[in-house]
Amino acid sequence: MNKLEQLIYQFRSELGADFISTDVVGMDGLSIAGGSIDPSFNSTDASARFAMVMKLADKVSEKVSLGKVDDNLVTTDKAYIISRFLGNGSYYWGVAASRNATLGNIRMMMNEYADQLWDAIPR
Amino acid sequence: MGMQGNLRDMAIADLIQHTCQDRKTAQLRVEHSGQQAILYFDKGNVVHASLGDQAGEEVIYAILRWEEGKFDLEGGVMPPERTIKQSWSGLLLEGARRLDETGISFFQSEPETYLEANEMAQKFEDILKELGGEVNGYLASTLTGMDGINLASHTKAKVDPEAVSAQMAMLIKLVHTSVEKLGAGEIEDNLTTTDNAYLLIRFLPGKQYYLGIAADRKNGNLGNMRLISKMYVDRLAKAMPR
Repeated sequence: MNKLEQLIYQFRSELGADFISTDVVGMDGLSIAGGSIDPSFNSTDASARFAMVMKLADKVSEKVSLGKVDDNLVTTDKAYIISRFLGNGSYYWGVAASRNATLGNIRMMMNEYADQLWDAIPR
Repeated sequence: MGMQGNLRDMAIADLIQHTCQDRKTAQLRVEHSGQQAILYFDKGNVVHASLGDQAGEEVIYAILRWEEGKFDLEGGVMPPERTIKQSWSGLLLEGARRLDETGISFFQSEPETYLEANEMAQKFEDILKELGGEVNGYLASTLTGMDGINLASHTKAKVDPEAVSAQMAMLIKLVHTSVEKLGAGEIEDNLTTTDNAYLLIRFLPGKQYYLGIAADRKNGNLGNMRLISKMYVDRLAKAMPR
């Protein structure tokens, strides 16, 4: 298990029963690490789709002069889906968690892990 | 943007109403019995009208009774001057009053439609203004259709509501499609955090419209934004015409 995968595993364990899926994704939409424990949640599909969402969010934010995007949070009746740019924005980190999760806690954990994940990405 | 037609199919009052509600900048040429009137719109306001030697509001009142003739609406044409200060709804109200005195109606659609539309837009703006008072770090809000056309907006900052509405509509559509394809449930809201701001988008029931709120990141509070947005989508939904 490389460093990136170790960190993903650690994060997953900390999130516990609320965890659905997590991926570190290039802006080409391809995941470089992670996966889903829920067979009904297609993490490959999610990676690609939310790469598009992050690109568009960044473009929208720029057009309306609101600055660079840090993260995007989608709330549905079943889940929270959080996408967060890593480092220089060439990757993003996606997390899906159940609605039972404490959103503030997830965001705080993501803050803690983000820099470590960026450093662990092979370059 | 360009549109041509005949006044038999679309009355001048309807043309004025739709062009203004879409917040367009445009020129409208209308021909009737050898006469040509030219109206200018600037970001959703009628700002100039000319008919021969005449200019200003009286031109509007004169041409509202035209029922036959051709029109040509061309987008993006800037007004050469400004001779009208009255709001478009005020012009139509006064025009209706004058025509009422002569027993003529100038709408092809229901006569109350433009009044209802104007009252509705005002009601939405009042609700958004109230919302602005409750959101910490509030910058702007918008009520927009999923076609990206802004129904109402309220801003405290230098934000172009039209541009914001269209951009946010694209984003929420993509998010909605993504969530649907993933089978991840029914979307409630989308929150984008930038280095300067929070941008929240929440659907109204039925998903034909959304409420967008922007708040300053330093002074804004995510929990406050989400809670206020939940309360106000219900109010906005109730204010929608049935």
